[in-house]
Amino acid sequence: MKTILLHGWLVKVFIVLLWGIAIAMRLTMHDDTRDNLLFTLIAFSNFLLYLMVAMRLPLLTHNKMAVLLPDYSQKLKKVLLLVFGVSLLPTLLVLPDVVTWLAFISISILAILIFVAMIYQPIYQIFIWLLILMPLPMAMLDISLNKGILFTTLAWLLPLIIWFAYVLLNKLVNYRGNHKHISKIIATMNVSMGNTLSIQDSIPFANRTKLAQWWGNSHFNYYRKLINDATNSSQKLSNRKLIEISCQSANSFGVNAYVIWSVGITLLCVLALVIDESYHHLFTPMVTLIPALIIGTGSITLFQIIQCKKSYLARLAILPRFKQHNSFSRAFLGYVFYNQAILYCFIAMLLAVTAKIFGHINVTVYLNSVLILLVYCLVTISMMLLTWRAAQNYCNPVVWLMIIGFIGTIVFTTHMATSGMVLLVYNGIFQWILIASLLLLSFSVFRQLTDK
Amino acid sequence: MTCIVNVKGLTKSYKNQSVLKGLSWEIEPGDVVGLLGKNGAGKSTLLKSLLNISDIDSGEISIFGEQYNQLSSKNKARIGYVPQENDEISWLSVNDLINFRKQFYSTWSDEKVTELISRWEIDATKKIAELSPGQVQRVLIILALAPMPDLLIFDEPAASLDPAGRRDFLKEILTLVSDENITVIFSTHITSDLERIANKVAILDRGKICYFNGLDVTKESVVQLIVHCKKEQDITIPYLLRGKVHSQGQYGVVSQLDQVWLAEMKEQAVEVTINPMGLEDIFLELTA
Repeated sequence: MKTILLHGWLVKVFIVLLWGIAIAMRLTMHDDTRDNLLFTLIAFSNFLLYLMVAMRLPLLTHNKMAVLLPDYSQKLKKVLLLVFGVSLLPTLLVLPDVVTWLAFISISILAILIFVAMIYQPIYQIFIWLLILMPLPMAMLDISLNKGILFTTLAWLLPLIIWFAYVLLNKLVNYRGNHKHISKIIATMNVSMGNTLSIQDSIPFANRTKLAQWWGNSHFNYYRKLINDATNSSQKLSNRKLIEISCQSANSFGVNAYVIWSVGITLLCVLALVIDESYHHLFTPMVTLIPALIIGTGSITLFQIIQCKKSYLARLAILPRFKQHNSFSRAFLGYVFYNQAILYCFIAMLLAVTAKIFGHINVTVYLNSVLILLVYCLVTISMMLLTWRAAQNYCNPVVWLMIIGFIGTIVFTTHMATSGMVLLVYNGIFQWILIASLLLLSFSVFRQLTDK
Repeated sequence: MTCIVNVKGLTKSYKNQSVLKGLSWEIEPGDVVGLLGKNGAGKSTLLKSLLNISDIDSGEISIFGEQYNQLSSKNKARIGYVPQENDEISWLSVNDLINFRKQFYSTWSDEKVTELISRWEIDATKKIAELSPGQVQRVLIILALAPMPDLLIFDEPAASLDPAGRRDFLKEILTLVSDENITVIFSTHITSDLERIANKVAILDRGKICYFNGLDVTKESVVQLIVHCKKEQDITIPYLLRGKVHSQGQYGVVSQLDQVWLAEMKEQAVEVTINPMGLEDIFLELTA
């Protein structure tokens, strides 16, 4: 069971590395910032571990054999307690401050409860948004958060939190409910990183949640309408549109996704306009997170979908419609560029609107952000095209590269926003990076058009 | 004799569509039962319900004398199950999966695992996702056999196996049954497989076990009768399983031939044609 819960060396190495850094800091640092740094480092590594375990947990709780294997629930409970126990070892580094240590354990347990609740019942994902927005009502109600009082309270509440968590643990190890949602989690957890989104298409329509059914239907309705309109009129669908229709999946970032994100951002902007400007800085985490989320899902989803539709598109390519030299490659390139161009234009527009209203970034930072996103866009499109043409399946490493590149981009953008960097377009290193990414894209396009 | 599996009045429906309608069934120790049924008849639902994998609407099920949803660990360890669809974690290697399962059983036989893995030429270092459906099926069969169970439940066990694999699997079951006196319930579409290993046959139709008897008895006794009589003649065929009246007389399938009734027919100068039936014909007739 431990092997299943802790599968994957990359995250494990990362967590152990963070623990190692924490130990090194405890031994070498002696200034005032040490305790805060230690707390943050251990909390980050442990939360990562809890999230990983929580995401794998449905593979065990909802395993069909679970009811049939002797002492299954008891063994699962023991393993979960063992993993939690081991994760508490690094927290000993915050000692001799016992109150902080006990508060840390309380926070860890509460974090686990939230993670597990979010995985098993998606409605609880609201906790994350509430936590992000929490400073706003606190500031408006003039509630100041005293760390000392908070930690002491959490330390005293620990027995109650442990009792509550234990009751829930006993329920969790026997929980078999919410099949429709869990089947999606299991499908995602059952495949490698390269197929996490595309695999969800294999879940039968009837087995999806009502929301997922509505989402899928509304997304596909747009394309059904396109096909029907073309059938009823004399005008044929363009080659690019044909490929676009073939590349649709229930997880595609389509019209409804754009509409929903636009509505969400508009509501946030309206809220910002009606409250005092002094509170605007409290929205910064949220308005930074949203574009990041959209780019992450928008680009990785497209990559996974075109990879998984490879054989289908290959059959499409040999149809008479694409008999002209390079007509399929051109249409395919057109689709990828069009899809990503819309995505990044949407992000640029969204950034502009939020920057204007919340004022969290100035014009230079905005232009720099757009330039960085442009480089990220060029590199990811190149990776998509090169992987598409590769004889071997490089899906997994490429998705990891995209994620790491994406995190790097966010870290660099944040650093740039806070350090008052000059316009990047005048920076020599950036100019070389931009040229290199343009060359990479040209090479990948050239390969796409010349390879057989 | 104490029943190993005892089902009374089992009902189960999916979205207002009844699948099992008050089904009752008893399996005795040492029985090797082949469960036949059309697609969608509810074979998998029945087997999953027995094992508490699928919830039931009403009814009573007991296994080894215990309520099906409150089985003790000792009795859980006596059950081996091979599901129709593979839902094992696909990124585990065969070795990982075997080690995972092994930790739940004290009766686990490493020898059996090693023997079957080598006989069926399975690369145990490969991930489940890298195996063909037939190989996955074999791995699932190994996982079910390794704890040396007393009750084996197979849901379409041979569906993904090639003819050689199927023959090998059936041989393994036959050996187990003769050496260890275990009880086996398996659902199948392939009547020849059933004839090879089962000693009892059950037919599931319209939510109930409509026929359950020894295989030899079934093959010897169940016959098709055509009674050449006029429509006005009121003739009742004894032991009738299924029958219909048509212009030339009556037609029916009986569970056994009543010699006294046959003599009566002869006396009344009513011609009766008797056609022996194969298992496949019986199944088709009873589920028509």
